[in-house]
Amino acid sequence: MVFSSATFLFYFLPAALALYFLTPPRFRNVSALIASLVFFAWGAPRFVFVLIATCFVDYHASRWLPRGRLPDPRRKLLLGLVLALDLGLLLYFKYANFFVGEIQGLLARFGVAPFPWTAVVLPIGISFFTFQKVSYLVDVYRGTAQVAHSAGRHLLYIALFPQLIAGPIVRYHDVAQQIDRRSTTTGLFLDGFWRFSVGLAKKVFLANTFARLADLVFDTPPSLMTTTQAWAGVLAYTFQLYYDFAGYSDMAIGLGRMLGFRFLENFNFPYASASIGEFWRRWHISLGRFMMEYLYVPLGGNRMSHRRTVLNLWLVFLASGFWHGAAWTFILWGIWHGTLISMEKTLGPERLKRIPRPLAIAGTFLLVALGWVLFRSGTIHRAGGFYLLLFNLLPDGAGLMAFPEIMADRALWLAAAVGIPCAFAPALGLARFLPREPDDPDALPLRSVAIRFALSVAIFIVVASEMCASGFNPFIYFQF
Amino acid sequence: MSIAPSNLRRGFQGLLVALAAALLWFPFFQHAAKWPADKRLGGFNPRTREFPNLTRQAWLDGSFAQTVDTWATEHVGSRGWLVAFNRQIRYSCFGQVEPSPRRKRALVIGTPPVLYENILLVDALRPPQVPPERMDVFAGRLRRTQELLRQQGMAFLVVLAPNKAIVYPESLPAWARNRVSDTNTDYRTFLAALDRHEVPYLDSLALFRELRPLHSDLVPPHAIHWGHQGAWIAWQHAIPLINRQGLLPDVPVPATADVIWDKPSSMNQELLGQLNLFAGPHYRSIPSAYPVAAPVPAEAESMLRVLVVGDSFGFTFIDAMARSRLCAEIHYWFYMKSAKGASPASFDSRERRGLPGISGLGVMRRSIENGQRMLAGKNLVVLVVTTFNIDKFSWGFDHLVEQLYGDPATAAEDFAEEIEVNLGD
Repeated sequence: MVFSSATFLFYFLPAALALYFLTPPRFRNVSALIASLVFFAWGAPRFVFVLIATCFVDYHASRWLPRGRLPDPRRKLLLGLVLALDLGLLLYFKYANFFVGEIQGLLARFGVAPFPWTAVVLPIGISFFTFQKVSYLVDVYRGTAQVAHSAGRHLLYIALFPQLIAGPIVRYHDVAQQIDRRSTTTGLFLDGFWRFSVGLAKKVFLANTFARLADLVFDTPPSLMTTTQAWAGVLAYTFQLYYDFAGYSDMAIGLGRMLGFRFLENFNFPYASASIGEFWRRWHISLGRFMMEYLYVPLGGNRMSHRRTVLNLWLVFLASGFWHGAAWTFILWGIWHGTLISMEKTLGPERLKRIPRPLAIAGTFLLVALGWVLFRSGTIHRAGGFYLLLFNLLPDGAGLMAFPEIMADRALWLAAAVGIPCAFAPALGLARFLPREPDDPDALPLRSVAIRFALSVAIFIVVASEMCASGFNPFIYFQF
Repeated sequence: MSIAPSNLRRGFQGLLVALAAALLWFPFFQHAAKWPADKRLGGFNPRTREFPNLTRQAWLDGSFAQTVDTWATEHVGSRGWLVAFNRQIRYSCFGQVEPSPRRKRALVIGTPPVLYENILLVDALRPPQVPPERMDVFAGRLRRTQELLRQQGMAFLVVLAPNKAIVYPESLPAWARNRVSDTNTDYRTFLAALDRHEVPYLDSLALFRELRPLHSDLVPPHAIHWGHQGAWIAWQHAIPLINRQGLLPDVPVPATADVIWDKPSSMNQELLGQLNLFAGPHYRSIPSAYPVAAPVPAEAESMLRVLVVGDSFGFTFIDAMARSRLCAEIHYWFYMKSAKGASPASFDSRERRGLPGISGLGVMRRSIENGQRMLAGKNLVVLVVTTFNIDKFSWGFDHLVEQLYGDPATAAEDFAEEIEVNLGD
């Protein structure tokens, strides 16, 4: 189920909230779990049983993972086995088609006929909840969190609907206490409603508007367009992706708050970064932290030689690319970022600081935007054509027929006028004009509460009207 | 550490939470209670009527969820108001005129305000869609259609309706103004192929370009189809082409006794209906030209029994035919999907009439039986096609005629089944 769908907004959400708040507080985990399973089963009815079964295995295995329950080698072996089960499922569901396709392509070169293969359907959100399963098991193994108090609570952590299918990837130790005990106040609920509405606005008003141009450009072969059109498409996609994913994260965080959960932030003005390293501390923060904690550090992190540190970083980004999708374009995108960040590491922070910050921000933005070409292109061939066109190495095509019409669209210019400065707000000194997150929503001045509520309602109504008028529009990160 | 909220805060925030809950639940209750009444939307045909049945199989294969998603989008409470609200924002704030993304159609408003259907613009901007060889085969089939109909005592005429964007390019938005051209369309290839195969046709695009300095209302600025004056002139010019076929007794060309400027309407009326808006800024009412036909000789009255096959330009065209009092019977096979009829007996062209006596006869799919019904007793068949519909290959009418009167084995079903229905239908 998609947050920006009529089914979710007008049926599931009111019903889920009513069920949750009409349930006595001690049973609210049960109602949240029921709602989450219905939410998940809506998009993947068959896979919900696999999710429940693997969570059951994870939970019972996790009871033997704390120190002292088993000898260390056995603990390690058990952890390895359960991780292999969870990651094996991810590998199967997400990558089997890719590997089979590659093998068949290879065999075809030697004249071998393709073997029969039924394409595996990707369960929605598997990349995200598999990482949460890993987080739970490793946290319990390391002793940074205790075993969940029941299989139901463990399942709730994995399947909690606000963050189930596209993150943020919530580490177990960040949320374990909240699953056991959390308070829901009217202030927190209203703060969540506000945050949810802000996310809806980012998705519907900004991301979808940029998408019109981005889709037009990226759905057309590069040979048919001009260099200017290609650059316009790349920029449009750069902002579309940011507002689409940041909007989803806002909605997830907002929904979490409405239920009494406080998830960590997932974005912090990433395009205002002055280096690729800084970009990854601001973009998809929950993935970055997960990768850092559960892959980079176990690989040795920066505790070893410089060469090994660089290699570790490179491997982390390669894995991150592959996590995003089973395609060579995603692998290359991971390599692109891995290479850039390795170069930054080799140059060292002192040399990077010598570059004037506006120039560094512009350069970082350009490198990130160029990376998104791989992210969006679908095939390496298409991406290659795009790069050639972007750098004027391919002659201009006849031009896109609909391009002038889209460029004449006032909505696109308004989205650009609002979206671009907001994306660079800290760099432009505009951050102070943007609404801040209150530490305690119940201490926010009543005038601010009223203004936020009025804006939330207005956004909600306009977005609802947009959804009714335009129908289904999924989030980009759902495919991952 | 948070301080316990005051009673005032608690009460105020509680009230806001209750309002939020009411907002979330409102569509559900509106749908259930049908109160307050929803706004009726023009041109909206939901794909789902009833809430789908929940079966084990439907749940497991995901079809239940998929159908409910569609149902929820189409039947959510207050949907009509929400859609109209959305259209109004898009139109008033951004000048966007998209009746429905699903239909991939839109209107374009030029400067000074002239209404264009976007598909006409697309047609005049894109490269031709049909290769010359394919067009030649199609024209050959139309020639064959003419021969088969002639054997049955029916004259046949192709009427090419005008593309407004090509007739009046000067008011188009700047991004399109200098790029529209009839060479972008299938128009020239089509006419060349018709000429080669000697298929009789009326090129109203060329006619309107020629006549536009003389008549200001061929395609009214606030509408998207040809006006009554345009359709009337097209009908007047079509009659000699029918006579030239020598099949029917000479049909007199009805003279225009007068032109009444009547029924002032604004672009708003077209926009409000097409886009489901609440209000539009184009209030200026523009009267439309209603030509009044001079009486025809008594022996010519009701001499024609006509079937018109075609797209939405046919509506005004059958009205012009009816006004001429030359037709005893007029049937209109709209996209070969539904049938309409005009009742000339109820017309009095000397009075001011809008669209008199056009009635829907209901769904009429393309089939042998329906073909027999629609062609029974007719002595004239007119194919009305706009430039952007040339590539629809007469919606299969030529194949149907082959099946009815020719060699059914050669009537291959190779035409595109996808039939796009025009705005407001």
